[in-house]
Amino acid sequence: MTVVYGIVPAETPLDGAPPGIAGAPVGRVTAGGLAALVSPVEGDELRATRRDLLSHSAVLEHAVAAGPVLPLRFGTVLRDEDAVARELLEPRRDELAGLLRRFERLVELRVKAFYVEEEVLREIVRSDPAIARLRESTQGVPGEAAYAQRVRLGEAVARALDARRQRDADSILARLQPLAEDLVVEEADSRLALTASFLVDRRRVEAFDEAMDDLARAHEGRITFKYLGPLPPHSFVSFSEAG
Amino acid sequence: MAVATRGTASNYLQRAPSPSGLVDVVDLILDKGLVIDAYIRVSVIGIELITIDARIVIASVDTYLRFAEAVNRLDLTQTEAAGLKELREGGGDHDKGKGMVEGAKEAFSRDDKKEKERAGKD
Repeated sequence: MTVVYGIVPAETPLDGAPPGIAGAPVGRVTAGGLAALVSPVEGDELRATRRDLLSHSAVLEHAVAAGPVLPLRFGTVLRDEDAVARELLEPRRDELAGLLRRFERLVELRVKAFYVEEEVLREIVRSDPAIARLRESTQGVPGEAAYAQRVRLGEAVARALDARRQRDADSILARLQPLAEDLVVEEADSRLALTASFLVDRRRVEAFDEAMDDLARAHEGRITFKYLGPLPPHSFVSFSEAG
Repeated sequence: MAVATRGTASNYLQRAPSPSGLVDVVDLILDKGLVIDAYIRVSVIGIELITIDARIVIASVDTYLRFAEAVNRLDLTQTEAAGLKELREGGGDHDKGKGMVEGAKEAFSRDDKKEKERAGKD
């Protein structure tokens, strides 16, 4: 069986590519000006282990440094290399070439904004008198006695946190969105102010870096940013948009 | 790597050119990317477990009680500067905030370990 990692223009160099799934060397199958990055794999099922997921990702990250790459979802396996050419590259040649043109200079930058919870909760207690009162009335009261009040306090805090998250997300997006061609904001749990991916022209990555520096300084102490990229456009590729 | 990691004035910005942790990778490659026709996508064992581990679903009352407890523990007399210092040194709730991510990583590590053990026996 043959695992496919992604599709690149046939002329993309492959020098120094990291090993693929199960340590197998990564090669390519070319057809019609396209190249599929592939490696052999034994058996007919893949396990989503830590090592293999990281390998899949590493192959794609290496490729995106050299040029555009269309990332395939983990676990795309065909019978053999011949099937990669005949069943994937040839029948979908125009769509794939169109996508490679569309993403020629675009990379994904991924931003996660984690709240420093203690600091944000402190902001909430300081700015909301009703929450501060509820807090005082439940402090030092043993568990069961103030159960209903503690639930009310927690609910009020959760609401305040939601409002704050909306505000913080809006202000972060206001700074970053003008630098991006497209963006996807994801649902996240309450510890994050924002999880989003941005589709950015390679020539604007530096401006995006600066914006991230500004944001990290502006929110220092209350939000920790995790900033990944340049990545292949994982969050933005799909066949339906090929036309 | 197209862009080198830039130095930053802030301890609050972690920049990485590529995903280093499993949580990032799971976010990116398990349910994103091009999907080729279903018939050539093999079964990937372990995905169910991974998605459940990596995405946290919290029942609302438990969340409320957790918030209440966290708010009650707060020291409001603490000055902002002291709070920052504590966080920079890795103390306080900052570590707890990372709990879920680390938890997911551990789940993966265990899975990976089993895989290694299995491979070792083959």
